[in-house]
Amino acid sequence: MKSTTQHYLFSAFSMALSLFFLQKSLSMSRTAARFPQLIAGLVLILALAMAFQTWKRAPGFGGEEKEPSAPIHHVRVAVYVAAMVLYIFLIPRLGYFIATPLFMLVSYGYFRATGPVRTVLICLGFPVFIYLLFVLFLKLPIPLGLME
Amino acid sequence: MFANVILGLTNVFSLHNFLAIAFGTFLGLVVGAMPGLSATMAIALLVPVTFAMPPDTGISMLASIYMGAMYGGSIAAVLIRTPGTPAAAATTVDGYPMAQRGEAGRALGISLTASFVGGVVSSCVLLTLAPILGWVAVMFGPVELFGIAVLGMTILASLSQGSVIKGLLAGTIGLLFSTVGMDSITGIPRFTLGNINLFGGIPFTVALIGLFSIPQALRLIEKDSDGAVQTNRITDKILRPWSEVKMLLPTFLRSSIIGVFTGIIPGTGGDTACWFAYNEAKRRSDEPDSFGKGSPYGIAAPEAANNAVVGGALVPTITLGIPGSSSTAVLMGGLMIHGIMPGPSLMTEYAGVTYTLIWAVLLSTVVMFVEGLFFTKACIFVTRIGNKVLSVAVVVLCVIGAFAINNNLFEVGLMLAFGILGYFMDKIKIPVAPLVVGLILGRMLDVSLHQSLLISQGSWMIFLTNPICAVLLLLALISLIQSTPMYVAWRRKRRARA
Repeated sequence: MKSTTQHYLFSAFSMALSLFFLQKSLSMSRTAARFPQLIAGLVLILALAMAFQTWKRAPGFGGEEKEPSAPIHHVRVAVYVAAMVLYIFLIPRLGYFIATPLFMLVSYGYFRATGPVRTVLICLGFPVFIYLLFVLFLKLPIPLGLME
Repeated sequence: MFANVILGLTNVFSLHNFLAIAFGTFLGLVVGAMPGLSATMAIALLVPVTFAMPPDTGISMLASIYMGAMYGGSIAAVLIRTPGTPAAAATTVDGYPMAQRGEAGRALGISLTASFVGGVVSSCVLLTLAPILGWVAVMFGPVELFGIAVLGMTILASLSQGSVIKGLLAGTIGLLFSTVGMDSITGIPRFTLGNINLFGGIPFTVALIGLFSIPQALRLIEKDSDGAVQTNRITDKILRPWSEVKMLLPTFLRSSIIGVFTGIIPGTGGDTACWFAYNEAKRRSDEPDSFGKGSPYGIAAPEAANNAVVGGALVPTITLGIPGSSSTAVLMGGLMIHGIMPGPSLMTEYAGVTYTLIWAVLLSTVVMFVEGLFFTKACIFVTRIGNKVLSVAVVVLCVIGAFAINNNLFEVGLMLAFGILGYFMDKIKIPVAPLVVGLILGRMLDVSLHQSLLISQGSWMIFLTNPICAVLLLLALISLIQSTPMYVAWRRKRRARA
């Protein structure tokens, strides 16, 4: 995706956000709505200004479109984000200490981050470290899922 | 005030605080040495861990991580030409060529000594300036606090990397997010979408873990490694002889002062200070051509400056509640999870914690020097950890860290959402720091606006008739005007004519 499109998308996101806050604030008392309305108005103005700035700097307007020098693996990023979402979804179901090594194993395997022996060692060692720090030291009740 | 200074000094030397500082500094050193992990991210990930500690211990540990990481960043910069933290970017220019000549120990020794001097100078400034400014700040009412918050936001936004519009937009989005939750004045829920998890507002620490750590984890995997040539061994001594230190002392001191003042200005951190100091050292040098070829002055200047930023950035954070850098913004998050609200009350109500923090900065500087002498050589191995290995570990720590704050999985999802937002913002060069500061200052701005309008019976003129607030708002306006393209073009034309 080109930088110009990304800028337009962010402007649109900011405008939608400000309009949402403005619309919701209409049903509030004047005192409660004052500050959010003021800020939402500012966000709207700044989002419009950013869109205008992007349009002015767009290649067709004399500006230069700069592409990143090193290629970015967009698919890799998308798969990784999906894996994170799945990981968070699985924590209450499988339990933290099953979901975490699974997430690490799948991610390291997909990225070919390190050798198989080291991968297994990290995937087992890291949850042990988390257990020692967060469960034994900080007494945090971690979701156990299937282990319960 | 003097009693509080002594109280802080006594606190900092208690066994658990001392151990926390020693551990925090070591952790900072290791994290700083890992390319791709920033000090801000390390502090953000460690904030939930401090939850189980007393506030003074937790916050001292976080400040020590900040100090340790500032030096740690130079290890990767010197050995593999990749700055361990953005604040060590300028160190690569001369540090790496010196290491290539077989003088990696010398380069790291200069860096360590410079970091030590920078840290000591900034701690002294913090110890003297913070109480004075804090004494003035406690006299401020809601009208002045509103002016301070507006000034802080505008300076931060206008000095952020990229255009002023982007910085301001990020800041105002942060302010908008801060309005989610129960209204402090009327007590009615705002923008919660009926979700009970949002009634307490967007948890600041969760947002900052997402904003600072997830984008970093994604950046670490999105590209293949660049295959920088690595210096595998340090053969020469790290402790530098007095003659060399004496020769570099003026550069150390000048760069430290640059670092302190850069740190005091909200929005400018070690990454800005290191280049300011580097350029100043080059400008004053008798041999400017030696810069870029392994000049000791080229290492001394940025390293003294980036450590001096730590104390400088803490001055507005402690006295006014306005973070001087993104790392201090995260430190403020650390205070907030202990129920300590940043602002002028830090110097009065929570003086014990604040003065312990101030002394902790000085003590961590000394600890950093000692640990640096013993552990720098051992840190070589962390520079070899692969980006992808690190990235997955960071995600796992983010998830457990976000969960640990309130034992709530909804907040883990929120953290990821902020992380993805931060990643997109980073892609189009919209700074994340103003968004974080907006989230922090939002509540203070909201409450002070309400209170000011109550005092004035609804008249907005109160912000202009109050002389302190009027001056602060005028300064905010000037800082905005100065960063507009029209002003920059006008100044360029004026210079060309002159």
